[in-house]
Amino acid sequence: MMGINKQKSIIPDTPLTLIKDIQNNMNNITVMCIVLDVNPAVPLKDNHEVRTVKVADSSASINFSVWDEAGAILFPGDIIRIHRAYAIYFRNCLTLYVGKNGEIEKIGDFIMTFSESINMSEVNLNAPPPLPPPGANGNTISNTRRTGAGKQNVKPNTFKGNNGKSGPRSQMRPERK
Amino acid sequence: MAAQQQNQVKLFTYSAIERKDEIEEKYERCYQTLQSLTAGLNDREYHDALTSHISKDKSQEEVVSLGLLTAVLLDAKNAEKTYRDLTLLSRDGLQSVIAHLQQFTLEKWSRLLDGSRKQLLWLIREMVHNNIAGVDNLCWNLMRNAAGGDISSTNIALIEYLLDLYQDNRKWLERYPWLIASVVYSFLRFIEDHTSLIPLRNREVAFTISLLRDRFTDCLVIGRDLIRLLQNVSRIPEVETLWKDLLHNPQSLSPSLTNGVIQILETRTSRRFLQSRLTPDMERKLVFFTSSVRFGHHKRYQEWFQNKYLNTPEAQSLRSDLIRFIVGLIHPTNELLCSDIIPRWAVIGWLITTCTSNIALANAKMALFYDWICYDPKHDNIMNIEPAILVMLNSLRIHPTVTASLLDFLCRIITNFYPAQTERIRTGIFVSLQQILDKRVLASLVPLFTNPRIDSELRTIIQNTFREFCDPPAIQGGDSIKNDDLMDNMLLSLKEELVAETDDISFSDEETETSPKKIVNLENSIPIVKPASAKVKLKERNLLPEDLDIEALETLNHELRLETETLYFKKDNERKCESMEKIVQLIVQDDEMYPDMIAALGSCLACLLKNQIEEKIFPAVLNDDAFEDSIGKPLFVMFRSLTQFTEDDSRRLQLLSLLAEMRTHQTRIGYLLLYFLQVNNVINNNADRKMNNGIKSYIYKEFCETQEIELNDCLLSDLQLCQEDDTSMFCWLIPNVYNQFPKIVVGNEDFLHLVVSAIDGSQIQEIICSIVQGKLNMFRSDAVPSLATSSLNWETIEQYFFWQLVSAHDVDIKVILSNITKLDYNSHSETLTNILLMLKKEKPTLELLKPILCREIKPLNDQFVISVISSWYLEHGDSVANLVSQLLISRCPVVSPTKRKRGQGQGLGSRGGVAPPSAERILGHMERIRSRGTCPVMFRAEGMQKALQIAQAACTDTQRMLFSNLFQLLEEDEPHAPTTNKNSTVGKGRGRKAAPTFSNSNKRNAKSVIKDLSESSEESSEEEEVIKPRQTKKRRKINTVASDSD
Repeated sequence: MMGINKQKSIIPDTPLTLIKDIQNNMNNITVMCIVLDVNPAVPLKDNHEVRTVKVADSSASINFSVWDEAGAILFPGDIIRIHRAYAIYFRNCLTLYVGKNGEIEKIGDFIMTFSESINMSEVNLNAPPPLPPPGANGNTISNTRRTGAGKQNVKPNTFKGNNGKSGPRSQMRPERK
Repeated sequence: MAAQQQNQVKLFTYSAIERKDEIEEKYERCYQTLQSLTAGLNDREYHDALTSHISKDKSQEEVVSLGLLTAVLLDAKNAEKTYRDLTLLSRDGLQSVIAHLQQFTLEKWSRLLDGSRKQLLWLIREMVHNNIAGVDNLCWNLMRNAAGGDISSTNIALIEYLLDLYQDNRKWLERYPWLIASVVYSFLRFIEDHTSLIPLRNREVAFTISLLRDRFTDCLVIGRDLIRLLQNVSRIPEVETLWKDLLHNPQSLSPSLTNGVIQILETRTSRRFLQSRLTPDMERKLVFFTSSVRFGHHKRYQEWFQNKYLNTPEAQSLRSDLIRFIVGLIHPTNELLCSDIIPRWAVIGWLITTCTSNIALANAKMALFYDWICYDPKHDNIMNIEPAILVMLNSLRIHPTVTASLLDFLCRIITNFYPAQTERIRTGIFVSLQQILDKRVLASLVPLFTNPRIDSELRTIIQNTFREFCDPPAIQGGDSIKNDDLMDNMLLSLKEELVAETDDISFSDEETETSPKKIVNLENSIPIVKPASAKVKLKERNLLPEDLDIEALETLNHELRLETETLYFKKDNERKCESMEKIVQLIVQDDEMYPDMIAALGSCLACLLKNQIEEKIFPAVLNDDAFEDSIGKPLFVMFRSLTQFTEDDSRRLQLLSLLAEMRTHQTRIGYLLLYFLQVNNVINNNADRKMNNGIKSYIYKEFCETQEIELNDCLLSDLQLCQEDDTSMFCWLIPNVYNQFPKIVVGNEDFLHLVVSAIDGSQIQEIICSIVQGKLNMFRSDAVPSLATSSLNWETIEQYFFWQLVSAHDVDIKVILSNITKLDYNSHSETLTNILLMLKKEKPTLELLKPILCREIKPLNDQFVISVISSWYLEHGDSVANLVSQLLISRCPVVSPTKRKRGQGQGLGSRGGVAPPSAERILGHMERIRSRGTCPVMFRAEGMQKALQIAQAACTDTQRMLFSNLFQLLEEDEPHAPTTNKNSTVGKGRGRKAAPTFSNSNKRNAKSVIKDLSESSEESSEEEEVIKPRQTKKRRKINTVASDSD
């Protein structure tokens, strides 16, 4: 997705969020996980495609929606770090996305334990309705919105690179044809 | 400029989502420093600049040499010059460069770009040429990257490079004995893989064999796996020649080889060689897999490993390498053995069961047993032989075929592995087995070697081969332990005994092992049992029952485990029931529970509930309260939950598979489930007659389906066990079983036999009462003949019970009579007696008479027909005589000597046996009745007289003679057919006068009429026609004899 030549100022030791702690509307989180399943690509308009990838860490598993090229080079067993990810409900399933300035980084394969016992993307019929599009400062607010305060590991300074651009939430939610 | 340089520094391949790693960044920095130092300088300035830079600061030395190294890897054009600079500038004889390259060749090889790979190989070649110290280690590392079971072009290219390198630098190579051994070991493996790459293989063979022949002594350090690999390629002619020398003249290869092949087989393989056949990546993954992945969560890892390394046909040979690695190098610590991490046997079981090639499979089995064949407790490690026995033991349950094939293999290798040394191999294997027992890996081999899941033929072979290990051990306290319990019994002791080989966990050679010698020392060091873990174990053992499969318990997740333990520890029954309820909840909620977890839970529950399962459950007094009390135990809580789901609720399936699993440990579960269902039904019915749910017998059906056992077999074995354990419960269950599973049990001889073999007097009374009341139907009348036939082999009392049941069922006597002819008076006495008693009560009819008279007339003591007819005669008088005569007349052909046609009425058709009986046979029976004299009056009956006359008229001469005594009973004034006159008169006279004196002919009659009848009957009718012309002559002859006797 993001070329390696693009020098990024992503702090390597961003605190990780455990998948079991991921909640609706969480934003700007870093998740380290292992790929379990890569579902077939679903073509979208404008030559985009999206894949649902099941990922897991030691705490739980979740569906991760991957756009375009990155999905094609992800394979089961790959260990990845997802930088600047966010989570929202999509069709009643809590789903993880890469933010607009986020990145998927492959850091290895196979050598990671995981747990499938909790699936965060289980259908939740009581899923809250999607939020209205966030404001200009949506990032910081959405961090605390509707999520249990104190559960967030994200440091405020993580967002410096964002410069108040529209937050990751502005990314289109995938629409299947 | 800078950007250009940056692009040039690219050593590794990346996908779009991978980032540069630290090593590359470091190389890149050094390279850039170097560039900035030397930019625009000519050769001489260049050299001076670098020298002065290094002299300024010692730390810069590394920067410069790394920069130059990177330059060599990146720039092929100037590589030679750069390498020269590198050697000139280095003050440590390139040791720092070598140190960097160690890591590079071992870990980064797979990710190097093609160009950089070529450069690295070039560099190593140069260093070999220059005989740089330490390059032998680089070669070894590089060789590890040449994977076994991989014939992709990049891998082949690497192997070719290595072959060229060693061939071109043979002198150099021969200075490193351990490298020679490694090269031989690796290339023997490559040869095995390269059957389709003949030119390469021929080169490899030539090189390896010459190395072996020249330097065999150096190769001895490999140990027994040298022989293993040589066996795998023994078909190649050059190898075959080597084998001949090895077998017949070993000292020509190496003077120290005094004991030939056996000497090599007795040497434990050094780990370094086993390790060398796994690429660093495989090793890392396998070590992680066996040290961190929990049992039950291993499926995906297996899949990933399989997809990456084991999916192609040529990759199957890798399985042996992996097994040897696991057996020889992965020696888990005590802590690991106690944890829920996947055990080694499970990994090996997976490698064996997923193998797609037969040759590779055989080699894999060999690899598994390779440390057994010449096992020596002094030098070998129990951990090397433990996986094989545990694979066999633990596969019994789910993959009995794996166990069987391994056991078969083990038996065969004793004689086939090395026929000339059969005794040595046998000793090795016996010592291994003994060691397994001594170290308490297993408490006994009996449950494995005599397990009923193994086909009986193989069991016989095993018992002949390992007789010493097949006798049941003396068990203290005289407690006989059932097979299934023993299975669990065997695993627990393993952990305390096994050695904590802490040094063994470091598999990867980050700290490169310096020499094989050192490793051997390490391996032989005295095992240290960690005191802490041993203490924990002891504590656990005191609390939990001895035969509990601790490993299984530890597989369970925390919550489940807690409840399971509560179930055992709490004394209070209610509390136990609560735990059971919770367990059920946990199982039902988690619909993705792994089968292994279910298996583990099943094993634990079966063990912990053992006391409850085995105690007497059936109440002494039969009333609702007693029944309700009897199902108040935790086990029944589980059953109850099963009944509470609706039929289409799939959540039951988990519970059912748990039950199925428990049944493999505790076979009593089956009938207890039946009992519970029935009790539940009784209580429900009594409590609320309107709400009659019917008994939920479908649950039992599903229970069988889950176990993949036919309902029929399952029910039979459950009832059998119940019958053995508790006959009163059995009898109580019987009516229910017959009503619930009519399709299966009604009329089934196995079930019937089970019933009659179990019951006693009062129980048959109960059953008969139920039958008579119409509540129970055990067979339909049409099944009776076949049941009666099968009952012939039963015990006398069983047969009598059976006939009691037949009587109770109101079976039509005609049905029973259908196979009356097949019953033998002497051997089927029970059946015939009972039929006789039944017939006695019947009124005689033609229909009954026909089959009875069809019976054969022999043997002499057969009184069946006589008894039946006599009893009827006593009861019903002449009506019997009339029936007999009626039958006789109907069976006699109309006699009219002139009109007799061929093919019709040839005497009295003697071919009897099927209804209706032939006249000859009727006469035969009459004759016997007559000779017995039980009812002489019967023959005087008018009808009888007439019938006898007709019969006499229709008789052939032989027959007439046979029945002469019978025909004498005809009243004298009756008209005789002229032809018979003489004969009958003679007979008559004899009958009256000579009978008491037992004249010759009379004797003949008495003795052999029957014999003649039965024996001659077949031929007589045919013979007759042929004989006819001579009839008179013959008759005269007989007469002569008769008169002589007078």
